[in-house]
Amino acid sequence: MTGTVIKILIVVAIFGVVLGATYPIQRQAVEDGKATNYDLLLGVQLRSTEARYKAAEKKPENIDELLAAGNAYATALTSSQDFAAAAKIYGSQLPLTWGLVTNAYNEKWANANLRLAGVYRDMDSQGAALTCYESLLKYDKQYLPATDSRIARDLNNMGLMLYMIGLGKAEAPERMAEFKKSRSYLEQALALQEKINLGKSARAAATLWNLFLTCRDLGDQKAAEQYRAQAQAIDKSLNRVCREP
Amino acid sequence: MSETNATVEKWNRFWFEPTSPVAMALFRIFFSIILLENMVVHLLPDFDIYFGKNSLVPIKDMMSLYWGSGSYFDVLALLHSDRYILAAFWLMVVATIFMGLGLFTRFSSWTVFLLLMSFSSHFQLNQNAGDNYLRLATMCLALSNAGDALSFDNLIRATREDWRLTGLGPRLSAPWAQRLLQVQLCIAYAHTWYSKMEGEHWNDGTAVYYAVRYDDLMRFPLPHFFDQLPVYMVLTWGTLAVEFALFTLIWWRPARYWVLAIGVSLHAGIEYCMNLPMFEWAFLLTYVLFIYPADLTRCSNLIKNKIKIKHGEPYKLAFDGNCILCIRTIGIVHRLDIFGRIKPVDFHHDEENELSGLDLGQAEKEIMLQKRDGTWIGGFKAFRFMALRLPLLWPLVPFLYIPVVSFVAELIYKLVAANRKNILGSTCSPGAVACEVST
Repeated sequence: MTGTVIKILIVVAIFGVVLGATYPIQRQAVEDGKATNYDLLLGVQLRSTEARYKAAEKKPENIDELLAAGNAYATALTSSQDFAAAAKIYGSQLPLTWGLVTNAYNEKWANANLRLAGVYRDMDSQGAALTCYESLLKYDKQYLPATDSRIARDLNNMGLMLYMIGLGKAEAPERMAEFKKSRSYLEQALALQEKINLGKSARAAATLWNLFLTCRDLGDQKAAEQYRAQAQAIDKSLNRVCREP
Repeated sequence: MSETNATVEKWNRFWFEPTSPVAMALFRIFFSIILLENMVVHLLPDFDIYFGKNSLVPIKDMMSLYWGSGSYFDVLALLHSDRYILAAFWLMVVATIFMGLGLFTRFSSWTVFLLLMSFSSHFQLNQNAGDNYLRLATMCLALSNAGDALSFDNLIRATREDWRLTGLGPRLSAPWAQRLLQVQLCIAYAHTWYSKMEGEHWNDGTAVYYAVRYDDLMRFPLPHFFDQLPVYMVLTWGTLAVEFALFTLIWWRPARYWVLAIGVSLHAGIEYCMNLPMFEWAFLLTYVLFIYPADLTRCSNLIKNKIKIKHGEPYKLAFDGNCILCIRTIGIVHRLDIFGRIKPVDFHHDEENELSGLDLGQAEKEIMLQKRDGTWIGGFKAFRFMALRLPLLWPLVPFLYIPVVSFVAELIYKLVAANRKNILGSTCSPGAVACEVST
């Protein structure tokens, strides 16, 4: 009987020692987990940006704060994959900003339009994204100098969207037609970047990589390889890695 | 006796009436093999992915994401190096081997259980119902007297026991740990049966059609001529009937072996169609615990008789019944002789004159064994002859035939035999080397 009691006590002691010694480590891990948990942090960010946005909505006369709060909230919504809600906020910024500037470049409207296009792209609404990028390109061409880097950005975005639209086409002729349009926009973007001495920039590398994909899928392997070599050379000069798609 | 008292007595008999540990010992041996297979084949190749510093889910994340505020036994969480965790794994493997051999069974089975728990807590994402069952079964083994039979522990005990007082059979003990495992198995079947009864496909008779097509687990497809709706209906509803019987009729003695037989066919069918590592085997193995001890003995005797018919009568082993060392040696030989190939005869009490031609003078000094041609061999040579005929001693046989080893062993045998009274601390009969029985 004594032997059995001793054996039971030994087992209880082993459990006690291990659970007791593990507990502080476990508690610390749980605390650390809470402090660094992406979902929890995102939840906090969502709640705080939502509160700020709702407060800003009550004071529409402070347009800058309303836009900043809306951008912060939409960014948090995008991070939590709620693209539709984010698109709604950016969409609401378009009429809000349209009348702020007349007969001159309206940067706030352009930025809202660009962000809306980005969200449409992320939620796979490629047609809507293309419309936004197209209207932005038209607007920028109307109000900005022909050598402005933002036009090169818009051309690159148009090229990328058309390439993505082309990828979704089942029939080869339709696909190739989109790729050709994409190549045209991308080559225009690259030409403009080179013209304004941005030919060795990170943006140029992005355009070159897009061109590599488009030319590759068009079957122009020679051009694709050339664009890839140029893109890699820029990435290397900028010490960037893993840019290759 | 009142009805309540009768129920209490039945209850007590079920859990505590001393029973042979042989079934549990058989379970221990084969269960250890399943555990080893699980450790070496399934865990070891992906050890770093599960348990290393850079595992898929490191322990700190495991604690924060999966442990939460729960209490989990994990001795590995206290080790701060991959090397120690790997050492703990190999310790678990060695302890499992010891458990299978029945060496320090209680300690080794507790070690296996605590480390199994630790490894399962350390990485909870690679655990399935089979792993849970392995842990539960190991716990029951640790609580049981599974080391009292078919084990090194039993052999070691034989070196201290006088079988004339304790008997040659394994020590009987309360089978409550074995009963826990039996009840656990029935709970598992009851649970799976109940869950299936709630499922639409189990009720409309098509569940097996989907189960045997589950790509992740598929092993062999059903033969095409079975691929018919009526067959699937029979298999689906048959599974429900078998699982129901496995937690109800299994307790009714006349039906038990029939239920076990259809249970075996159910698991064999699952094993054919689905690749569920060790799960089926762990369940099937638990069926051994449902075999009544008397039937196990009958089965063992049947095998011994078959071997006797094929290989002849057992070899006679003459021993000195007045010598405690010889008596203990016979206890060990009996435990090793699982097929009944040796028949010990005390030459002091040879009423049936079985030991014709035995040199009593030599028999006083060493054990003697009679060969088929009637000649007697003694000491080390007798042991070597026996070793060839006792399967449990076969691992030793190659060493016994190495000339130097046999020469040294012969010397040691003679030395021990000559000094056995000093070794055992008992007195000897006047004029004889053999010692009196020490009780």
